[in-house]
Amino acid sequence: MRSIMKNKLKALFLSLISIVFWVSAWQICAMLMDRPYFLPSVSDTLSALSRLITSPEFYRVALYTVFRVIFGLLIGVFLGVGLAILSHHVKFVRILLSPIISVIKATPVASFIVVFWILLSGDAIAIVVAVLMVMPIIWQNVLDAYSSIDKDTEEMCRAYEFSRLKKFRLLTLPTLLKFFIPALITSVGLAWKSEIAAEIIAYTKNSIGQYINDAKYNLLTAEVFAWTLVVIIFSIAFERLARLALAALTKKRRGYAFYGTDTEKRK
Amino acid sequence: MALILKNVSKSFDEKRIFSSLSYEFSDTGIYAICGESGKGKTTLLRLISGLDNDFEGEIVGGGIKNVSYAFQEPRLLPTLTTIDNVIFANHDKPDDAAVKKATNMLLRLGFSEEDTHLFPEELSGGMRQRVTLARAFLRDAPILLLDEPTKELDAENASIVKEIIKEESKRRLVILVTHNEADLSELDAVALKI
Repeated sequence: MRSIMKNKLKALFLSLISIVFWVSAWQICAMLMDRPYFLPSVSDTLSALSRLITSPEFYRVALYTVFRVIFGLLIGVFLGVGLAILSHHVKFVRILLSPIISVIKATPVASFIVVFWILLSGDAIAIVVAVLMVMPIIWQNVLDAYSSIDKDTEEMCRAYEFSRLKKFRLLTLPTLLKFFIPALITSVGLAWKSEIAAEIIAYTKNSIGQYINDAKYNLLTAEVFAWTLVVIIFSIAFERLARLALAALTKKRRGYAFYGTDTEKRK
Repeated sequence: MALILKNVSKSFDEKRIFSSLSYEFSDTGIYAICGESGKGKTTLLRLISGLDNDFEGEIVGGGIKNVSYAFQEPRLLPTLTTIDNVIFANHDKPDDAAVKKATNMLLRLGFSEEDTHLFPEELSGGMRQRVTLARAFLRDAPILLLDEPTKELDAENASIVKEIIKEESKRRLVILVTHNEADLSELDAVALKI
């Protein structure tokens, strides 16, 4: 136990050193360039950030963007899972969806944004683009999970007369989660990236992207950096939250509480 | 109800594995299916178990409901602990008696109390085979099918398993596949060559 704590502290210390190194490198480069319009210093960025977070506007704008990310992410996840389940059970659906999913995966985010710009409002573009980035990843991973279910173990479930629900709970769901968790974590990052890209290009009102765009036109590079920092912090926080939620969920499923017998004994 | 094979034949892609097997088993006792590799010993167990219904002839008294099957490969559920693998194969909502029965079986098969809470990936090959056997021993069915039950086991554990097989054979029909001549004589099994 003590050695685990020691290793964790060591890892944390090394991460801090790495952060300090890169922030110092940024500061030194900014000082050497001495062109704040191209590369603002760390202190300029931090003071821009403090100006942002003390304005009431910031919270309104951030909330709208966060809401759109969550909305796009949820629709993408549900659509990806739903279509994957359907594709697994109905071969025709899989054949039908495969080429379109490949096209979506290969299409640059910017192309989607420009195409939808003609058709949709700024709010909708950001959400639709996030959905299009998330859905194929979830779809592919859930399908891969289905095909990775061990056929021999499935046969054992048949031999021991598992009900459909029991087989799903004890074999299918744990296998799906094994593939779904990393896919969801990747999707969180992608949803944020595509959301901000869509907001910037489509100039979505009440969005972080709109403010980044305005700052760029007014050559307020420190503000662009500050907003970008906000996006990075949100994206990391979302990813961590997803990890924590899924870890709690899977821990419960491995334990006795979920299955009814072995939980308390397993530490 | 006795298990009866009536002119059972099996082919894979037009290749005949065995043909016109007929036999009437008694309700109890030990039968060992012997023969060279590739002669269809495991295939015959699968036909009796009802997992493979693609054959010619008739099998009376077999099928999933009448059979408890210990596969040659462990086929354990990876996210369940050893004890849960044994319990949940045979119960949906296990009570204390089911937990106790499974624990006792695992302890008898050489597991420590602590081992019963390990996950399959943390077990050795021999331990996994013993979990598979425990699972089959505890399933209440008139026929017990065991595919090479002592293959992965050391002498001590093999001896325990054979002791349990003998006990089981007093109350139900045991059919096993084995390549081990010593097992046949030790279990006093009726040898069926295919």
